[in-house]
Amino acid sequence: MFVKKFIILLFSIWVVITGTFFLMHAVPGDPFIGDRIIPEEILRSLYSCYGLDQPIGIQYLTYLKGILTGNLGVSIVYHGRPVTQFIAEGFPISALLGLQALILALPLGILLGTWAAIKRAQWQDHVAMLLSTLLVSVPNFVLASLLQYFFAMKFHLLPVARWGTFEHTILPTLALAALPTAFIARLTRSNMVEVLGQDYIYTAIAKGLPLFRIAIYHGLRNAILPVISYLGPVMTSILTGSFMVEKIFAIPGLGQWMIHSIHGRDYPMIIGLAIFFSAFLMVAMFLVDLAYALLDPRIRTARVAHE
Amino acid sequence: MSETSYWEDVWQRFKANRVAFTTLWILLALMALAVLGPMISPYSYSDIQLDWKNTPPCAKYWFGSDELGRDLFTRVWWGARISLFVGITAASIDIAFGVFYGAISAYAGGKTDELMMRIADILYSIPYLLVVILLTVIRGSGIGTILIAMTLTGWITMSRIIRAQILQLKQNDYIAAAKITGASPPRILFLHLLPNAIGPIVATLTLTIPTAIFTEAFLSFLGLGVQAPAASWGVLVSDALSAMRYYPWRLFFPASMITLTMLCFNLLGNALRDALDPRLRR
Repeated sequence: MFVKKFIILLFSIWVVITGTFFLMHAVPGDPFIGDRIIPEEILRSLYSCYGLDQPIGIQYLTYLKGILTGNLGVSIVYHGRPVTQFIAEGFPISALLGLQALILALPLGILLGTWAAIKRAQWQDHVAMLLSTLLVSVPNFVLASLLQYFFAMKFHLLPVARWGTFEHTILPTLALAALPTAFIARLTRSNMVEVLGQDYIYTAIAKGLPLFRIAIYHGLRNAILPVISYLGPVMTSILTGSFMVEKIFAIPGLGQWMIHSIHGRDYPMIIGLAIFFSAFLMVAMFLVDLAYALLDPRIRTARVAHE
Repeated sequence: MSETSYWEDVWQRFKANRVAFTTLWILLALMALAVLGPMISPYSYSDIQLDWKNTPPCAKYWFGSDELGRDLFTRVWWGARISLFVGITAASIDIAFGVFYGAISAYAGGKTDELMMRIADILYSIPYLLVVILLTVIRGSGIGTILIAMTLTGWITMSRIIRAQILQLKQNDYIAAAKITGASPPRILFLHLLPNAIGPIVATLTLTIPTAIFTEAFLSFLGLGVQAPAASWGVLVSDALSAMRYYPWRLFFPASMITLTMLCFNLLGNALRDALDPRLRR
């Protein structure tokens, strides 16, 4: 089962690398031809320096070999800085933001969802669900700029932008956490409503336990399992969000570099970062799948029985 | 006693949901304004009036004007046309292809089903965002590129939903009866199976539109969207951000239009999903 999934994972990463490589090389245009006229000889030495004078098949093999040894090529705009160096600098920043957002969103979403499920079809439920629909509907660049406008520019409570202290991370984290929180809340609610209809919950109610206690102690462990399997899409949405949030708050994360490289048509950077992002998400999804199967006793025992 | 048909029943339940009913009217109003707004405005979306730069909302410019003195009322509704067009078209293509693929996969079953779903799995694992960015970088930005990029992997979710539906419906006796009477597979698929899956199709369509509108706004925000002087909501927001501190109204109108539209589609989609699903009837 997992061997098969792992093989599919490797295959998908290979598809991404190959697809990206050939697509980007099919783009018409030349990275070195700009405003200045470059003498033929210099152009030739630039080509050979970046390996662009080789046939495309050889370039592809060189690139594959490079990736296996941790080399994603060099930036053209930033004069030969390796792409891995940008990743080494930018990724920890983006990862910290994403992690903080996730740490905030998980308990908040689960709590909101549980509360809505307990108060099902009452006003609390409607408020919670309307709130989560609203959070899903506000694009995070709108939310980020609203937070920035009110908390930083109007009331001067927090830094407007840039990176440095913990205070700098608060607004970006909030902006990133909104969508996952809403997402997790909706999911938790629908699972919890289902779980609360089970016989063992009725037993607990009959014993006279308070409903909130039942939901937390007896319901939650079954209700949040599906939430774990949705961590993959949640990570994707945080990553997408980080592009915008990093741009708005001028944070030197990886999303910001991706935007820079798109604007500068820095093809090796775009390819390198795209492959890195894709591989990261695919591995994350794989790990989430793995964790889900390990955590859910039903799947675990089913596998043991199967073997 | 009169029998209520399925659609009458759906309509009754939908009408009973006042929130959903209101969102439907708001969406219709937004669409009407997208059509009429640029017509009733005396300005065109690209008219530059440098004497009237960054004017706050007033009698002359209802939504204010931007850094080139272009009328924001006209631009917001012009942007609505582009954003709504892209959103609805992309979602419809996704749904059409997804239904087609999912239905065939489920109906064929066996090895074909296995292979088609493996292909979908691998495509699905490739992050959507990167497909979109790469394609836009390669093809250059524009509405066509955005549509292709958004539909390239967007159909997979729908195909999975439909496949699950058809697999379930296939077990029914009336399908066996249709087969015995010699109905051809396309006839069974289009006449007997798909009409029964219309609930999830409509609900998913409604919920895909806001995602598509968001993706377009996101791409425009990254500078990969429609090109100046045309503007979608995403472009307007992106333009307004840099001057948000001094001219907040430039952000207010397009940002609230995106939010309102996405909110309405999401609420409507949720309500439709509930109304169309007979199992949720009480």
